[in-house]
Amino acid sequence: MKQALEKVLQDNPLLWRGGEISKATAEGISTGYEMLDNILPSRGWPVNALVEVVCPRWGIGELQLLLPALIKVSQQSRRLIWIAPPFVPYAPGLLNSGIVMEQAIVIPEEKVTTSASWTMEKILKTQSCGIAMSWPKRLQDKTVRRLQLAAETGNSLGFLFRTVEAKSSAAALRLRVTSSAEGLQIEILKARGGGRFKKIFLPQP
Amino acid sequence: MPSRNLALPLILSETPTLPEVANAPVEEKNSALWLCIHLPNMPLEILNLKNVENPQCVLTEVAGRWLIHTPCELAADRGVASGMALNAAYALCPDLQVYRRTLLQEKQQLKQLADWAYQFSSMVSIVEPQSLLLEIQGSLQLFGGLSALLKKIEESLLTKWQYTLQMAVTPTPLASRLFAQIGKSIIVEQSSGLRSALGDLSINTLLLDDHKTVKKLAKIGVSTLQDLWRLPRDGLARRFGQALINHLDKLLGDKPDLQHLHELPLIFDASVELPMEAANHKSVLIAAEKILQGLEKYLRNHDAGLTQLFVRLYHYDHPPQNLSVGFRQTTRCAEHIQSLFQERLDNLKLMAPVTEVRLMVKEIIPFVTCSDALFASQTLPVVDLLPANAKQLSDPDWESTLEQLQNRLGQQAVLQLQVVDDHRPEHAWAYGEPLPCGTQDKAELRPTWILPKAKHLIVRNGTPWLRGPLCFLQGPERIESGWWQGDDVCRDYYIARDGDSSRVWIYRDLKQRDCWYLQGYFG
Repeated sequence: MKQALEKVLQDNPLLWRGGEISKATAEGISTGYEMLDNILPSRGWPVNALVEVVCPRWGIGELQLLLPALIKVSQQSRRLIWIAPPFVPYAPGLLNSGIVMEQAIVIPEEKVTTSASWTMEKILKTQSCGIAMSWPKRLQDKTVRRLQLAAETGNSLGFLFRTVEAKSSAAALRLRVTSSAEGLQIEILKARGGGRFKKIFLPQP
Repeated sequence: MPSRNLALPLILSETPTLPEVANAPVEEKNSALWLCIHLPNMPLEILNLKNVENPQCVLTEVAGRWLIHTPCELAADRGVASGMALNAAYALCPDLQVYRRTLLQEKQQLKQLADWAYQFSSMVSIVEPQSLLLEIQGSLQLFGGLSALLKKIEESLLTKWQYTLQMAVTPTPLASRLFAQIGKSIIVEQSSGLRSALGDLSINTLLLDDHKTVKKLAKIGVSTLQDLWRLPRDGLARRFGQALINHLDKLLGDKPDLQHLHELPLIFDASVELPMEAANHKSVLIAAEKILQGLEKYLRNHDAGLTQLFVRLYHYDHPPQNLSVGFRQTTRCAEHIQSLFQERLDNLKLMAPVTEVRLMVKEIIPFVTCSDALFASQTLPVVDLLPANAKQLSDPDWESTLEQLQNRLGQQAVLQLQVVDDHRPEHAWAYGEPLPCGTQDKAELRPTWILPKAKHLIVRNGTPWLRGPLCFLQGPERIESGWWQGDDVCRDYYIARDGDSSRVWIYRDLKQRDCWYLQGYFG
């Protein structure tokens, strides 16, 4: 009976236990944007969790959203890992914004080929990684669940960037990011431990 | 004592065996028993000559002259002897075929023989140029007695190499060598029997380095060792020096005779045949698991570790497949090795069903452990308590993850992002090992993404176009550099907003007319 229950919990991303909410409401890493912190249940990026960011295409400002957290984590001597990014992270730009470059590690797409999810899972499971970011081409719901579990066992924050919005996802937090003339529009699609799903605008710098 | 005339014809063992009681001090003293294996014809036999109808011999060069070293049986019958000048040998035997001695090969062969001899004794010593010494007292019980052991050694050696053998067993290394060298197969188990066994030997066979002493001894009428022992010891020492006395003491075991023990080279090579051909990775892994456990034991016994493991998979009708597993740190944990091996195996396409798995370690290195934190716990933020660089140095968790990633994705997959001191944007970053950090002008705003190869933008009505007309926010910033590398750039950079209202970094190439390029995103 217990096994069957575990299996259902394991396979169905729509199901999650109520007990996980208390974990999710623990203090997170500040996003660096007060408006965004205010609407997130953990008052920042959730710790030891997977965050899914859905945006129509790359380069609209989705990395800008992460930048304050990246800076803070790198300054704590924890690693930032780009897994199969769509473009090359520009070192002078990152340095100028305050990221400690010794912590910046890139695994280029041509090296990862089909193992992006595997790589992400391995990295999330380690204790020494700060933030892992991945841009997977295709992703099954089951894989997202695995990554979420990996993030929970490890000590890092995982970001999944996707262009298509799946019906459901096991990620602890899901955001949709779109750019508009006024700024970046952020819509919370799902947040563990909170029902206040809101839409905000972050003005462009 | 019953006669044990099995392998060797002459047995000298005078003292009757005492009943096995603890208080037998005389017996205890004879703790060592040395077997000397002498290969008298090795210089000739190592050449592996086929034609045995003609007389043959091996030559050595001594002081610019060619001398006969080892004649074959046929040549020896016709009077060719060791130490004879080549011309004299030709006079006796005009159809003599001569070969140069291959000392290097002989040395290697002796080493191989010593490796082989390790199965019989843990104390094996090479006596150059053509003998081996084995301490066999400790092996007697295991191999079921002396005669059984000697028989086994002889059989094993002859099945592997066809060498003429001369063996002798005595309680001292020197006496064994002496008997083996003159070809007297003898077993002397007690050192009390040694004196009478050696007595009849000529002093020429004494293996003394100093030939003058032998000549001098011959002059005073000493021809056998027995004669030598009759002379007073102090007088002998005064006249011929302490070296002779020491030599005689070593011969009889009154003085210890230290031997250089041969050490086995540290390599690991084991294979396992699968019970049936396996086309899936899992069976291969299960087979390898057994060897890996043996490997761990082997490494622990030697207090060693490995950094690279070679695996060879054999197929029935295909050439074998090779793969190597690299480790970032010396390891000897079977579980760890297996997990990485599994990673590599998962990525390998089996060409054909596997019949045999072979694991090899070519370099075994001393194991160095690093200590774990005593109070390390997953829930505690240990990370923040440590100074930043201390954590970087000893980060076994990250190292092992890195190892797994590199094994699966390739050695060059995980790259460190760096800033390079260059004004040209596409040259201002690099992947690789940490370099001294560039001194970037912090005032300029730079994007977070870069396109290593800039994308050409179309121009409509004189304005560059990206998902709509581009709206300039900031610029221009002139970058002109790199002429000394033949890759000079002359560009005006702008920050602009594209038709989709995201910020981009573009430039106009000043060397071409109206050419706009997309360089990066402020994504």
